[in-house]
Amino acid sequence: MSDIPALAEEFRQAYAAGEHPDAAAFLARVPEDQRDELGRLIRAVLADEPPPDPAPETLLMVQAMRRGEPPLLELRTARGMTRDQVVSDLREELGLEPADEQRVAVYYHELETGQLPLAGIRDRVFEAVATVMGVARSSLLLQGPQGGGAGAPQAVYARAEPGTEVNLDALAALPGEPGAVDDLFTGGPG
Amino acid sequence: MNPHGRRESDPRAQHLLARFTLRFGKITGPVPVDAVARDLLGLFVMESDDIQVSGLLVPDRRYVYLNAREARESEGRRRFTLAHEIGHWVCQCDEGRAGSPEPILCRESDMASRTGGALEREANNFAASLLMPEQGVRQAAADGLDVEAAAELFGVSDIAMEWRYFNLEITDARPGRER
Repeated sequence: MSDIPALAEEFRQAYAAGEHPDAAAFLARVPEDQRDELGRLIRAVLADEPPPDPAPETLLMVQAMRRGEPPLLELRTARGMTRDQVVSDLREELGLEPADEQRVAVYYHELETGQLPLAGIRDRVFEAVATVMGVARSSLLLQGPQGGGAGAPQAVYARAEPGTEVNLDALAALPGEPGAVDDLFTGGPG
Repeated sequence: MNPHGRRESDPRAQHLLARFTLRFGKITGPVPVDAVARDLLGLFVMESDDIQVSGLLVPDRRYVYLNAREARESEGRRRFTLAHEIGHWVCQCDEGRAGSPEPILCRESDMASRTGGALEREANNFAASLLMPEQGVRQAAADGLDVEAAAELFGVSDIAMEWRYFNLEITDARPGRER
């Protein structure tokens, strides 16, 4: 028998602290026949408690999105963190090898700049990014591709000698063979 | 262009450096152009032996490719090319807010057209303003540094500094070559 009131209180405290707790995750912690009871208490919390103030980092990311800028890039630069530092920490947090760093860097770049479909990213990656950035997972605001995702580049600017050609397809390939890193960033939720 | 036919500093370059300082601390030594591109602007900078151009910006992907052979030959040229691509990103792409701009490949025909030429000149002037901030260059000249010494101080090629000295009216000698 689960302690339903204790779980409801845990939810209330998390909600009041602005952590945006996942109600479904709380319901999943109790046997099926007790979910109605916990759901009723959670709905009562949501009805009674004033909505929490958003975390400062969430505000920062919302403001960036309104300006048309990638929220994760804004968060990283606001924290004065270099991309190399974040990539290195992220690689360690995900338990990957140093040899994977270049591949992680490419995926992190796509994640940071809103080019990576969020539906393909494993939960572990979201958790790791939040940890590296020093924010709660629930405060992290990410953006996927807008308007159909990454297709053929629409434009290029080249500093070129006259008469030269550019083959973008030859440049686009990721280094090395697909493996664990690709699965983490494109393998889907879970 | 000022009344004397010289290019004035691009204030957007100074603004970018101020933003960098605000987020990553004071700049000492040559402008850290790689860090400006990568850490502040979120551009992914790569060097490749497979491109026949000096530099290439793919705005949708936020990728910058630099010619690896040229980079090995001259660090000053590499830095100027990267600053030039940053110039395209800031001036013409509005750091990604401008949507998808029309394709521009800077071949001979593009360079000859008024639009392509203007965009390239704008990116060049931005690059010069970014790598050789006006106040610092004027101070270097006031301290008696010649072009070669100033170029070394700012991490650019001699010809880039020649143009900067000319455009800031530190010298009347018009350089004869491209940066």
